[in-house]
Amino acid sequence: MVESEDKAVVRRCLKGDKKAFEILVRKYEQPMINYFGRMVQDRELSLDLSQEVFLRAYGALHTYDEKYQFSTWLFRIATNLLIDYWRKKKIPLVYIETPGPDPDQDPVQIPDHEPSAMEKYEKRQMTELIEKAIARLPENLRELFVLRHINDFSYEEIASLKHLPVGTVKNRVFQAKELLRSMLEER
Amino acid sequence: MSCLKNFYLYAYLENELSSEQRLKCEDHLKSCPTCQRRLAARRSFLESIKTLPDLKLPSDFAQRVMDRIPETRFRTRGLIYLAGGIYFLFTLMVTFLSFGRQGAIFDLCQAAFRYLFNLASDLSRLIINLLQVGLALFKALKILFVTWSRLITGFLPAASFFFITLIFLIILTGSLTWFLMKPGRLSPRSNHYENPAQ
Repeated sequence: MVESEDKAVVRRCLKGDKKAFEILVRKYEQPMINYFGRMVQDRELSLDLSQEVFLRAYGALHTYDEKYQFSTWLFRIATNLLIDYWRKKKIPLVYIETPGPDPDQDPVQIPDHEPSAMEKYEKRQMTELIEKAIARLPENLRELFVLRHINDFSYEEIASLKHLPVGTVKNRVFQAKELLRSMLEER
Repeated sequence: MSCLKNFYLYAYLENELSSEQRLKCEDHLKSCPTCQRRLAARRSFLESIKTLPDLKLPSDFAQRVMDRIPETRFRTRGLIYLAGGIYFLFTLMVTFLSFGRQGAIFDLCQAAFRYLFNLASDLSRLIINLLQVGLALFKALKILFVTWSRLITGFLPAASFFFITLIFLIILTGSLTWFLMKPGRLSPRSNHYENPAQ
């Protein structure tokens, strides 16, 4: 379903067609669970958070501005909910202010072994390994990485939903990828 | 040309480079086995990320969400539209009536106006009745209070009327405070539905 169809469905919901909202839930339930699953590492909790996002979205549907993409608006609710959750749980958010891998630095930072360590693993083992490595990423890098490479948002969309400059998003996603790759190479 | 930065290797793989930058990268890659290996390693890494499976979702998830959505979410908006509509009709009627008896719609407007006027007068009568009941209740309370204070001053001759009144007010204030501060009564209301996306 394309984005304009999302907007048409939203209009139907606002006219009182509650059933139409189910179309949006069915479309975005899997991306939502993929996002929360990677962010909180707890299946039941990620289901609860995803459900809460849809309930909040339905309640605030009249505030949705059609000049933005519905998916971006919905995930903004999700990212805000996650921040609220972390605050309530008093989990300290880890922010990496140090520049990390500098895009302009000498390219030879992480040795590229040949054959790659990942190639030694079967698909299932490799998946497990990557999931564990993603869980070890600092929250702010992990979130941007998940939005980019799990939820397939563009850098511009992520910048819009996180209220960050595009360059910052690109740099942090790059840091996340290099960090992840280095973790995988360590194994 | 020196070796490609890691940042640009990813940008190349994700089609984030301009056509000019892309051509430069490709030119370098043709002649640099080191960068070719580095690019291959990152391509393999990105491909392995892409193969990550979706997390399992209960088949009834959407239904569970829909079951929790209240039916009457947009009722308030409906009421606002209804009130707006009634106001608009009323304004329209007054406008027609102001043109005098020439308008063809005059009789209809007059009937509707009479109906609304009756409704308003009924409501006013109801409000007056309620006020009268309230006044009667107030008078009854006053008699009760005077009787009670006379009884108290009868038992406690030293105490003045104002002293007794003060005690009564303290008790009343205490009771009201307790009633209002009962757990849950004044707890902050959730504002989940205000602006969750901001």
